[in-house]
Amino acid sequence: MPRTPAGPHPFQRRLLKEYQGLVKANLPGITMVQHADTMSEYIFRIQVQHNPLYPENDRYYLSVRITREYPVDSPQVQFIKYEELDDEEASEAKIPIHPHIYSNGHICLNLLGDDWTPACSVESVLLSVQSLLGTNQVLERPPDNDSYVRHAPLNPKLTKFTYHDDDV
Amino acid sequence: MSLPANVINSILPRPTLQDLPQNQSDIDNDIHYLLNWLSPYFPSDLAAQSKQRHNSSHKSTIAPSQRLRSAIRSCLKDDSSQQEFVRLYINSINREFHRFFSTTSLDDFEFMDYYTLIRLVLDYYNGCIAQLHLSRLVKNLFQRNLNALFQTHLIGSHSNSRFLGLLRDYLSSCLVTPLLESPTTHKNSHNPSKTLIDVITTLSSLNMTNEVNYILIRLSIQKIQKYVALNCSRVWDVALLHQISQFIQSEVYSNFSVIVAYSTDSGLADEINNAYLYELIKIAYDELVSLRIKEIFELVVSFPSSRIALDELYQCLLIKYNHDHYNDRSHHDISQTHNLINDVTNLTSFENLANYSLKTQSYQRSKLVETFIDLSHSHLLHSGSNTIDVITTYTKTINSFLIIDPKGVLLDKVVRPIRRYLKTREDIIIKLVHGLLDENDEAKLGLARELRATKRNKSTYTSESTNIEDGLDLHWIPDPIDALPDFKKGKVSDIIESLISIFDSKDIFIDEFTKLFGEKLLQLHNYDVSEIEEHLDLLKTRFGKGEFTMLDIMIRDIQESKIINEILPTGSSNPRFHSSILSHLYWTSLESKELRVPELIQNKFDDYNSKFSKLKRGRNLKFVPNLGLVKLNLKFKNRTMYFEVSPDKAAVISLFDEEENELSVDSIANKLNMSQYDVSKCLSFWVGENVLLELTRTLYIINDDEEDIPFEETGNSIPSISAASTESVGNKEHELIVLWPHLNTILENITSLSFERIKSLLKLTVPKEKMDLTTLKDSQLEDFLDWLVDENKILLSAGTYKLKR
Amino acid sequence: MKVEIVEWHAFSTWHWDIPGTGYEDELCGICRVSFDGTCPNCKYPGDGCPIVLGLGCSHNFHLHCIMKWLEQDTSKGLCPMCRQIFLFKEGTFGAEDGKKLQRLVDGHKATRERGPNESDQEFEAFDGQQVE
Repeated sequence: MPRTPAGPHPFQRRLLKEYQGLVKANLPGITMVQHADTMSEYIFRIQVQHNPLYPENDRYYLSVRITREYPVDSPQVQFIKYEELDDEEASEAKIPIHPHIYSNGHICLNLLGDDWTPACSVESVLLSVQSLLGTNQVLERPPDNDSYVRHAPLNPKLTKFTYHDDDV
Repeated sequence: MSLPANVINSILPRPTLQDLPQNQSDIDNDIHYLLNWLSPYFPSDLAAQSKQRHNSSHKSTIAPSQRLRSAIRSCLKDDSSQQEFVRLYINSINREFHRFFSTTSLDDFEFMDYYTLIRLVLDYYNGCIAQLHLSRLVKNLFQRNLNALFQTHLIGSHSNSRFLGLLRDYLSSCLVTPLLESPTTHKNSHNPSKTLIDVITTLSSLNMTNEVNYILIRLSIQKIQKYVALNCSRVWDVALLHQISQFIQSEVYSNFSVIVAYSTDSGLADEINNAYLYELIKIAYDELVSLRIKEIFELVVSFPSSRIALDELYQCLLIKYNHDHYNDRSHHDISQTHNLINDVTNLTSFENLANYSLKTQSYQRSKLVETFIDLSHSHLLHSGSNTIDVITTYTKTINSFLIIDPKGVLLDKVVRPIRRYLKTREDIIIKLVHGLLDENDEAKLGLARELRATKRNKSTYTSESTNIEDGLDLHWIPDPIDALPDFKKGKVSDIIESLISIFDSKDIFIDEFTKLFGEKLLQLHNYDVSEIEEHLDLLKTRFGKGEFTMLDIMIRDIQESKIINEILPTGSSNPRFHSSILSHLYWTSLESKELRVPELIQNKFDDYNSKFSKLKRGRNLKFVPNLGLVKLNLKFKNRTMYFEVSPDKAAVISLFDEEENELSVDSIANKLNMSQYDVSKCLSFWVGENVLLELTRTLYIINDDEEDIPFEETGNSIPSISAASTESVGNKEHELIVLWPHLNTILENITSLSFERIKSLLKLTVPKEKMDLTTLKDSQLEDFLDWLVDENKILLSAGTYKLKR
Repeated sequence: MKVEIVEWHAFSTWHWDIPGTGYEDELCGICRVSFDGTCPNCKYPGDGCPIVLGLGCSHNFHLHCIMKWLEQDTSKGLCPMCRQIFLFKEGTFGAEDGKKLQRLVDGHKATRERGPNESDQEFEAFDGQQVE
């Protein structure tokens, strides 16, 4: 995992509680694949159930990074192309196709931006993203995908999304 | 099976003088004459003469005749004939020797007999040879051969040489006391000095110096060993090294040097003597080290009284190290002397001495470690030993081994089994924690002292912990060769650090400390946290400032409570009510139990609470009724008792306030919301203080005497009905006589009672089967009591009944 | 016998006065620590780390936690738990803190009253710059 930030996180206690909660919760279709010792960086594998658009074999990998301002500020979340070492069954890792998910893995989700509050948690984000996929009917990329991806910053938090799709 | 002589002779011809041709020429006459004069070729009657200690006086004293001289001259004209002659002569002598030694039994010979024998033979031949005027070369040849003969027959194979054994005993007896003492103080009546010198001189002329020296060395070593074993065993509080070298100088070396002086060339005597002295001292020190190695475990356990012995052990090992590596300049000279000696004189005996102690310093060190570890396993590291003892021995081990080896390499090895073992002891943390805080050092661990010392040494402590990395240290030298691979330099001398480092993390300690301090704080009733703060500061210097957050908060709570109690108006001051106010999340040892406190107190608390809420907006208090301290007075009829007790006891006794009747455990438990067990405990306390009386297992009543009669314990709380008391009642029996035993017991316990009390007590104590007292009329009872008065069983005075004594 | 109590030294625990049941188990929604404990920034609980009681929505937080949240523009002055406009009850903390908090709340109020002026814009991707 990449470089760790200097010193413990100001809300370390909360991070610990969240980590323990995630392990205990054992959310269906969501597996913690990697986590940093500081518990501020994770990689989760998301599998979608009951949606033929995303067959169960398809695995999508979500990177979650807790920033210094968490939980006042939302975590940095995006899909990544990740190869699990001992997973022979896996088809090639890819970014899910979804009207609000860009091909570089950035997600347009209100919860991750304007509507974020400290009441949300990593768990709620995971469930929201899973639900985002689960309720999707259209296998399309966002209309401005190409232009966005060309100019996009690495960090999706630097993008100012507007959330005008109400069925998200 | 030996071959017959003629067969040997045919194989190895050894012509003797007998084989010289018997010619009639002049030369032959000379030969004959000479031979005549020389015979017999062996002193006659040697054995007897030796025994009688005859001094020989033979041919040597008689001046040779003219005829002999000319015969000698003609036969032994030149070197070659001399050599030839000597060769034959020696062969003859050899035969004679052989004959003598194989036929004569010398089993009853003492040493001096042997000596005389040698002297006789030597004198005999020397006498002969002197007359022959042989050249020096030939003379030497003769001497050498003669010496060889002596050696063959006297010494033979060393292991069963009787002669050598006797020589040893002789030397040993000579060396009992120093030779250089004046003869008058010598215990042995015959002065051996001169004789000894003669013996030594003779033997060295026989080329037996090596044997002599060898024996001497063995004797000296034995003497040293005995001395060390006798004088140094278990002697640990006296400096011994000096004593030992004194001993060697005066008792061992002096003899040694005298004898050596007579047995070696004088040219090298001084250097050889010094070398010998040095080696002897070295052997003595090695003996001491071996002894100490055997004693090592006890040495450690006896620390600090064994400090001197440990220091000397260190010195011995150091000397040894320097010798082994020839590092010391002065010893460089010694080594040169060694080589010199070996080259010039070929003294193999000296090599023997120098090589005696094959134990190098590294061998000694590893043997020391091994022995200690073995002994510690058998004596200490088993379930039979006390944790405190193990800790104490551990600290002693550290102290002792740092004296023996300041670098700490040995300590590191020796201490690992103990550390591993300590980890397995369940109560180790608690014991350590208590030990660290134990002001009075009841456990005699000395840890509290060490902890306090930390503060003083804080400056040195921090500088030590900033060890320069090995790679950057310009003054770096490698670890000693027997250091273990993960040996860490520098962190040895700090005992507390050493104890703490047994465990993987500091957290267990900190948790234990927190628990311990928490309990202490709960017992604190004067809000004075200074002592605990002091201790905490000491611990902080050890473990780190930020490790004790919970304790900091707890202490802050108490300090704030003090201030709050001063601020809050107390209202009516009787009784005075104040509270320690705690932040509940940080007091882990807080155990809250249910308890209904007296109404008065509850009101006080509610009042206090509301005042608190006014002061600290947004907060309120929850009462923890079972904790705290209550000061109360118990006012009896004729005395007042003062107590300081825990709240539960106060609550229990408060129920007896103004209460004449007895109360049962059940009812108390109900009223106070306590468990029966807790109630019983409190009641036992008050009974023990003579405040309450235990009527039955479940009934208690106030112990209120008119007179100050000391309370007599009734061991069995169930009232025993004594048969005797039934008998002692008078002839005319009252109908209520069955009540008498019960009443008796009651009055025995409570000396005076009113009528009403008697009635209620009897109702309670008399079993219903015996008599149903619910229907008993007052008049009946009164009547009974009057009757008892008449019968002189009880007294009535001032409205109360008492037993008549 | 008379029992006369001279002095009673008691022990008690303090708690923040939070309306509602089971108040001991309640956690601050931002740091997830119990109210009677400290926020992540403070060492000593109590006066130094007070709590804030919500007025409209009855959600409560540590003072420091909610201030951190309200200092963010993205908070829009809303309660993190229920997204209603956050208002607080007076009384649990000192005047200075109160003022600070009030300022933040007022600031958000003002923003709201200024009216929405950018929600119709199409988004644009920026490199690190946020427009406000």
